[in-house]
Amino acid sequence: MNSSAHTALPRLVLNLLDGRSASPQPVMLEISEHSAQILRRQSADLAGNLLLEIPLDKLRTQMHWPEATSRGARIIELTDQAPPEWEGAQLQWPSDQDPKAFDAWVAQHVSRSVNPSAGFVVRAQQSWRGVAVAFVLLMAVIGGLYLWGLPIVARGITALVPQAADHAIGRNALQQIDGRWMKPSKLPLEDQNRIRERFLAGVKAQYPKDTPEIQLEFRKSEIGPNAFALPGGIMVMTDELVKLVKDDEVVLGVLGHELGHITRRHGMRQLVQVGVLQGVLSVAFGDYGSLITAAPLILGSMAYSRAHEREADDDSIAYMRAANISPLVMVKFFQAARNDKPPKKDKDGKDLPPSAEPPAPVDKADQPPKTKKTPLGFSIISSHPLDEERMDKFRKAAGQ
Amino acid sequence: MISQNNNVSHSIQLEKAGVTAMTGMPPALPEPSAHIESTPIEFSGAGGEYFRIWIVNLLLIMVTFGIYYPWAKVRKLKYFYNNTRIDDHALEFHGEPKKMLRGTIIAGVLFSMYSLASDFSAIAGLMALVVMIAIAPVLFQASMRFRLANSSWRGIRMRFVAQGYREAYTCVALPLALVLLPGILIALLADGNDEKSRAVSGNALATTGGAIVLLLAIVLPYFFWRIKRFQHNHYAWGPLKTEYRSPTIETYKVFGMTLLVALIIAAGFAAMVFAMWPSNVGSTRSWSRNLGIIFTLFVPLFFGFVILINILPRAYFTAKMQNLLWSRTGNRHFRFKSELGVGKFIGLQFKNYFLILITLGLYWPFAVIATLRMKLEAISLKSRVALDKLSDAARTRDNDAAGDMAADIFGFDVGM
Repeated sequence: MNSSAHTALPRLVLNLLDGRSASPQPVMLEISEHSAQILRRQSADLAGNLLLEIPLDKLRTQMHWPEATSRGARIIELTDQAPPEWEGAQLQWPSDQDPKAFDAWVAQHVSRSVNPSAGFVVRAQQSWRGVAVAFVLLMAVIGGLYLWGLPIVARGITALVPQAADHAIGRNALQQIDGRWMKPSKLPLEDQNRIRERFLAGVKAQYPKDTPEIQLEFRKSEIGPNAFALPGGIMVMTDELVKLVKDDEVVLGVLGHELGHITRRHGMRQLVQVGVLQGVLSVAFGDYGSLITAAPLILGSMAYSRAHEREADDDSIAYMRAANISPLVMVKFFQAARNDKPPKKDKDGKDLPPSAEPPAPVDKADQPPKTKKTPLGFSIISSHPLDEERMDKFRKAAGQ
Repeated sequence: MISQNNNVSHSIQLEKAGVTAMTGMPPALPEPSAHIESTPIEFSGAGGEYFRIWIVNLLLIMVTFGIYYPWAKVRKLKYFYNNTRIDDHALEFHGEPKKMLRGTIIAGVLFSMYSLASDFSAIAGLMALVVMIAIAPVLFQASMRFRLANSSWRGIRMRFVAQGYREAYTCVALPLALVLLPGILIALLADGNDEKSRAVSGNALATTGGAIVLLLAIVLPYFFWRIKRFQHNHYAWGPLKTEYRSPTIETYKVFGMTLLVALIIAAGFAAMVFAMWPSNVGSTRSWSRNLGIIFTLFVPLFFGFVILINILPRAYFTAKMQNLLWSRTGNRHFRFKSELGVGKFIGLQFKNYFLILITLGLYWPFAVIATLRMKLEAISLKSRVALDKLSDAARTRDNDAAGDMAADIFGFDVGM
């Protein structure tokens, strides 16, 4: 076979590495109307003998074409769809030639469906304008996924996880907390029973149908007044909090808030959300250093935690209405917490489960809360919304 | 350091290394000559271009909910490979995204199951750990094999030629078990519910915990050396296999020096805190003023410490280890030499972290390229046979190359 008649056809001079011959051989790649041909180069101007012919409709499957980059090598690879003796062979654009000339030739003579550089991905990557568009889209997608997508996904995944998993996780968490931060309650049994009965009656009133199963535990705390919910319907109320507020209705309001965490399965949702967030960050930033992904991960999970607290506050209001308690008792709670000096600083608070109440801030101000504004920076790095914001909500609820 | 290098490599090349490397070698390979041809590795990647690739890849990964990840990874690897040249020939990556998707999904599912298991119960966590320790060596080896089998230079594929899984198990599963199992066992033991047993076991835990940490500090460098030897002993390009010839003591030296660097930083900061601590701290009268001093002085100091301790020892270790690893890898025909400047590399890492911080992460791709450039361009290929002749010999195909490809249907490709 000799194709010397087709000298006018477009051709590219490449180096063939076929895995058998000793050294790279210069060959020509010719593209006609019907096929691509690899020809042995015999002289500079005339075509040589045909080594391989690939019909144009097989060009995509039998050859891997390189993507355009500014300085990267251009290598065409023969795939496993090519004739067996050609599998893995490479056609290299000589390194002393301008890669842009290769790209231009391919753009001109190879169909767009074959040439990956003609695809929108590579075109976008090769222009700053395309990248600017991609960047804006990326920010929009990240923002959307972060604000709405991930919480919805987490809710969906949580709905798929059987309740039994919540129970197992909750029991395990309680066991660990008992070992490190809690001791058996010293509260008189009659107080415990009274609070438990009143609370469960309220739960029944709030959810006449499908009443959630709640296991209310009392514990003596080693980290100050606190109450928290664990997955699987476990709630922990500390002696210190009961003693601090000295009012059953306030305790019930706090428990109503924790009930919201349980009915909405916030513990599981937080687990899923933080897991997905971590995955996304590690894909974006590789393993360059945990220092880089730590900050966005912590900030992100705190924002989700704040959203959950707001939801639980709404549920607490619903609970208090069902149980005939004025939402104002929660304002009382925040004021009591404010006046209480926690025995330990909040560095311990970080180790608490996600739904744990924060130790109250040390602040002498016992006048109405509006006077003091916490700076914005603090609200970003907090797992809970600001006290002022939360008190306002309860006041409004009481006013209605 | 340099003279020591020459001594060791000299004896490797002339005596032992060649004997094993020669078995089964085609006669086409010429005898190594006394003349050493040095070829630097060149890297032509650009930060700006990689930034563009990164942004578009990230967008596509996000809108496809992660399905696009293997395609993005192949594009990234091809960019790195195609811009890495030795003797004017670029490396080429041949991995197929579709194949890698399967491996990515399997690895992702395994990892999520593992990371969630310990939330359920200590027993579930322990079981997941045992399963992970059992399969980690297989995944590690499969991943090495996939990566090497899909890399080529001058049209010749590379291979990872480890036979069987015994060595992978000794050097991967054993240290994993050593590091992870004690913690879980302690957690299980500490589950005793009554307070007395807890108090008793508390003391026992502290002592066993201390002993375990000490033991780990002693054996970890050994296993690190085993893993690196396992990798660098089994690279092959055509029939040319590499060997890793570094005595364990060299790895211990790098670990020891890194520890020393970290200790010096810690001691330096401790001394500064001690020197600046307000002297009248006992008197309650000036307590609030002292609090102010503590905040304005020690908070920045603490952040400085966190940053320094996270960057400096790590960068020091990376640079020293790369030099050790690649300068000791080769056979009697060729070997590598890595001369990465430790101070220069540490400086680059500080610059990288600083710029990543102030650009809120956007500098990240530039940092990756700058790091890669410095690391790659520090390495050169030293050949005792002309590179053309070397590749002629490599081109005579080995029979087991095809088997390697088929074994990796899952396309595991863990790591960068």
